[in-house]
Amino acid sequence: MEKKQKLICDRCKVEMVDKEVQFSYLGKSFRHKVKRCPECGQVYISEELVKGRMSQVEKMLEDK
Amino acid sequence: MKLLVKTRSICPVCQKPVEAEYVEKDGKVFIRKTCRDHGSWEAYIACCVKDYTDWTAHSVVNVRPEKTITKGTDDRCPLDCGICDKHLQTACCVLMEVTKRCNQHCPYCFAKSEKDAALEPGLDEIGRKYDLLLELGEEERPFNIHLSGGEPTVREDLPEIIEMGQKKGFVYIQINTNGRRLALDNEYAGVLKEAGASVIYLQFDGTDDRIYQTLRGEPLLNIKVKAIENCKKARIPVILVPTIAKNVNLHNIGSMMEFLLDNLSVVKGIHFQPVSFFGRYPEKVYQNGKKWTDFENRVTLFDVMREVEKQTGSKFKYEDFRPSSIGHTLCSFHGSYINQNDGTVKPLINDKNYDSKACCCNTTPPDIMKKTRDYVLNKWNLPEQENYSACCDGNTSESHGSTCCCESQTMDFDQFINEMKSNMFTVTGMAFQDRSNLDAERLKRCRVQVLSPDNRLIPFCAYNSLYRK
Amino acid sequence: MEKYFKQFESCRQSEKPFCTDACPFHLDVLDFQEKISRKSYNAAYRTYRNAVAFPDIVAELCPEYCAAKCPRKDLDQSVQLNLLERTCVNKAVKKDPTDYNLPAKKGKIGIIGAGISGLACALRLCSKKFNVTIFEKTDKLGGQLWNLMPQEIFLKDIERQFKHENYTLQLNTSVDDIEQLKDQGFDALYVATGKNGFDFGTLNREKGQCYINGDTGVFAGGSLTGKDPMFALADGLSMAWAIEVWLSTGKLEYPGKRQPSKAVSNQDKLWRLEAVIPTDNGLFTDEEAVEEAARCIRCQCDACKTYCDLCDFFNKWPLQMRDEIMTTVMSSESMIHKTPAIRLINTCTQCGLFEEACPEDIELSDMIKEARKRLHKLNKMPGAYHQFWLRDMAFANSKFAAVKKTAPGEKQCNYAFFPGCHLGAADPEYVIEPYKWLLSKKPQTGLLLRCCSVPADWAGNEALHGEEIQSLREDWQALGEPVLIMACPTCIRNFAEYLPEIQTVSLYEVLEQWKFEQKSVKKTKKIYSVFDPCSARHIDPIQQAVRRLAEQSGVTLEELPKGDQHGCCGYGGHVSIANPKFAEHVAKKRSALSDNLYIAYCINCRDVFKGENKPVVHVLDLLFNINTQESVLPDVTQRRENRVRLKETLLSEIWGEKMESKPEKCKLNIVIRPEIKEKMNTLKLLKEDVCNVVEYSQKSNRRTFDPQKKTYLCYREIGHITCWVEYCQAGDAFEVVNVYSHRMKIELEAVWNGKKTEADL
Repeated sequence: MEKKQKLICDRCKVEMVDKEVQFSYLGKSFRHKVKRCPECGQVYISEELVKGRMSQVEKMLEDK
Repeated sequence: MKLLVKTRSICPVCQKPVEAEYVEKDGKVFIRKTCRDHGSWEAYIACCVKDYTDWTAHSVVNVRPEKTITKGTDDRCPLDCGICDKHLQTACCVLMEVTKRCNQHCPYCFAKSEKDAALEPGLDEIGRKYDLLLELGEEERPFNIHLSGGEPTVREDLPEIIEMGQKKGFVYIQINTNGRRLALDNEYAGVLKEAGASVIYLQFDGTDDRIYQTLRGEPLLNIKVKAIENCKKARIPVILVPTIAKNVNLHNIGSMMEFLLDNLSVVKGIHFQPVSFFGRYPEKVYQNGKKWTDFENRVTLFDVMREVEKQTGSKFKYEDFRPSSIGHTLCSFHGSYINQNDGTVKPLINDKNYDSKACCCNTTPPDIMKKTRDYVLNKWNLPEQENYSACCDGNTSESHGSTCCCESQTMDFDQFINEMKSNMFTVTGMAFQDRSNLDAERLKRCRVQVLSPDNRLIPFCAYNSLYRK
Repeated sequence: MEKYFKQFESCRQSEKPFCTDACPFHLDVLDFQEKISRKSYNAAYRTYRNAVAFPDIVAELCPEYCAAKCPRKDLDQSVQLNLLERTCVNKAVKKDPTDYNLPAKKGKIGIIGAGISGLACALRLCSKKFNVTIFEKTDKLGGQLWNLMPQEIFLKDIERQFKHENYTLQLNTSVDDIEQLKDQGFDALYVATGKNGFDFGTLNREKGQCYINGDTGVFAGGSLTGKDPMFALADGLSMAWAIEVWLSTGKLEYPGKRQPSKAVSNQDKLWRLEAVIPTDNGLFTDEEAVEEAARCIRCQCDACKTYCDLCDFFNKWPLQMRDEIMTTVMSSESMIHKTPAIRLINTCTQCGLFEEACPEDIELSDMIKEARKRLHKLNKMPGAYHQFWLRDMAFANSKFAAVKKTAPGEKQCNYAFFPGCHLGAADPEYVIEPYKWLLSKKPQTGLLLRCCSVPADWAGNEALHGEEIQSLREDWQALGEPVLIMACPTCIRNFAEYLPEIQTVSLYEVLEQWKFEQKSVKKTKKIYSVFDPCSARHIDPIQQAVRRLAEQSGVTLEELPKGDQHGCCGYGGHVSIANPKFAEHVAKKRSALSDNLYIAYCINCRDVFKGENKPVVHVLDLLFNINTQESVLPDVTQRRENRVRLKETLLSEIWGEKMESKPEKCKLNIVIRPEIKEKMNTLKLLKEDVCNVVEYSQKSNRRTFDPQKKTYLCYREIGHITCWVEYCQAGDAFEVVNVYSHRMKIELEAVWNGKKTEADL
């Protein structure tokens, strides 16, 4: 399972943790919990999220 | 005094059709009419002429019924209801009275409830009524059904009635109830949901027991709260329906709005109904030295909308309300909102710059009626995820690594998806007409119709003012 | 926008079909037909009765006026509506009218003559609870019906329909003079005294067959006025209406003729279906009735649904589309203003077929084009929808790909070749070969290789489009204002609209006029069909030139079933990002127009069909032997490389020049697996984009490491999209394992952990 996997921030060499990141699309903002580096704030978004709920939200906003 | 618009009405006493006119007097708007035998009558329409003119300038669409039953003439409206071939609006929602019995006795009740069971339609007959409605309605999408009484929950076979309607293809069936049975029988909400009821249309007159004492003759707040709780457990949406009367609960609107926002996990809207005086006509009285011929408790839609803004500290704004897109401007107001997590609400209609032409020629008739009927259905769908409403109680959903809505102001994707599906609620109102303020033009555009015992479709207000036996 | 808005008011979608129009009773045949199809005889009976008043009588007597108007008449046989009516009347079981308890109405009406017309009028007025008296000189009801049909049928029907009505009947009462009724206080009289009956002076008056006598409105109709039985009956019904008008308004309004229906019958739905022969004692069985009803093609105006891909795909009528579009492009400050048509607006291929089909000249595609401009102005156009093509245009017009040159040694030119930007991207040979040929015929022919700017037009970006058009104009002027020889019909259309001062001619006409000769003619038995692009619809000179050239090359041609009356291949309007399903749907539909091999002369049509594995060649393939069926389509990256290669080749082969600047190569050794290349092509991601991400990742170390898979993950924003790359390092090579992209923007905090973040993505 993807969410169990360990991910390392390559710059800070620390493990990425679940933290919120802000997103925006077509004038609407979201905060969603994704893997982030606790040190530098770097973001990782999985393809699963992109293809799943993120694209669903994109579609909803486009069709609103 | 200035003439605003001419229409037709009836004499409140003898019900003879007469000419009528909307007039401006001291900045206020009244409807005036004169009967040769019973003199002149005036009913209060709006406290401010600008409100009236701006509001009635909104365009609404009328979609004619496909099938009519009776033949009418313009000058006899509303004496030939049925509905007649002159009617301009097909029903959005049809009321079906399933009983005249009631488990309460309210001085303001529309339906003068009777204790003796006696004549109420059997299941067979209701089946035939459904069939008739299927026949009368548009093929694409049947009418929305509103089961009322009396108090429909006194019928033991109400679940069967609902189920039969669903099976016959009525996708939206709302139950008009005082909530007593829902409160006292913890399983009952689940039974109705199981049977296929879409929404509980709950009489809810305020958040203070003194109001219930005045309007319904007994304290009922606990009953209402308990009923809502049971509906929440059964996951059947509720719409609050307060009857608003001056000097009784007009001042309580702000508190009702708060109650609504506190219960959005199950309550999906509030529907204000200014009190109407169906079976009666006013005594001629004097007020402030002037002749006043309307009921002193009369509240208008404009009053309600203004009070909503005033009593919520402008959280809800008068400007965000619009007439419903079909019917008649003076019959109803409507506002859709999304509840924000920061304690504000976002209005979903903002058509300040909307070309008025653009909405009056809307789509093809079957489509617009389907949309209108579907609209009430869809907005009340509760979210699919069972544990969504529990999210704010601390049970963060782990499944997607998503966050709880309490943590931040902006939503995450799941919340947005859920919100788009469910976090809408509506603030609406409908002003029923009585013999004093009846306007034939409004009646012709009526979209809430009653299926009478003799199987005619009668505009709700005409039914209650004239036809109810 | 307002101009277009108004056009929709004349939409004929709700016009009545021809049969209803021809019917004396204006029976709603569509409703009736539909109910019969469901075997709902009771419901159909009700529809029928509401129209004709006496269903049994009319079903027995009606000579089917509708049959003459049925579009089946000339093909096989008109729909046998009368047989369906008889079947319905026979099969319906709930035939009694409903008893409505209505209040009595004011108005006393006398009806002279109890024939078919008088009775119909009486029935209508009775059912509205008027006070009705019928005078009949004989001793029985029915008039001419006694001579027309068995008495048990009509007497029973009359009895049934009048079941709940009260009226006064005076038999054996001959009215010879209106004055005779004077003291009875009639508000209106209907004179239906039958053929050669007494008219009481009603005929041919100023307002029709009616006049006012004192306080009484006197109307005449039926056989008296020369009508046959069915029209006489219908007359009675419409006279009931006229009498009601008279009673309520005091005005005489004799029913006039209706406007003829403007419905259009759809010939496409019309194929031979033999009339069903009834086997149940002259009536239909259930199945036969359903079968016969199914022969009805339900004439309505639905040309748009039939021809316009957009109407068909969204299953929407024009009025609904108009209203959704208007709502979407109305300006509003609120972010949650409804925009239901954003996708619809960006799904139109601009093929113009709607306009061809619509009998009312509604211009839907022009409205949509205007709506795209509005969306762009309002900042509501999702950037990702058109970004790819706008970048593509920018590249085509950049120094790496664009060429603006006079022929070698020439200062100016009278002609210049304008191949368009996609032709060379698909294959440089498509440009090189024809240009060399042109030079061989007229050595002064210049070359203007760049984009025609249609992507900016389709994106609704007026400012950008304006700039591009201006730069095109300047390029053309710099070459000495030559006639442009165009390879792409869409470029021609765009020039005609925005640069009318530039004279253009299609390459295909020039090939003919300048006497192109095929090097080798290979006869083939395969049959080809020319697929005319939307932009060449009705442009006969181009169409014919292409066909003649193709035939010269040795192929046999057959026209597509509807010639050029088909929609877009799916490329037009740049819809495939906004609505990939639609683009695919359209491409499949067009591929299926014919089993023949297609010949395209728009390179985009060729590419789309090739992508669908539809056998297709470009006409230039036939003429210059460029590509074969088996050649593979270049992906988005290769198309750019092709453009660069084209420019390089042209410069060196024609002008003997060396190309000075080339696009920067990726500094890293990037290896992309084939399946990832395919994915990139679908996502419209360039190798350049992927390189960018990896380079940034390597430079900044701002990447995520997956210790299990030993891969790095990194992203960069490319305009309106964010591109993610997953890769692993092997020596000095970087192997791309995965790519994906989204439109949602990642908003990094300016400060994280008290430190400024590098939000320079």
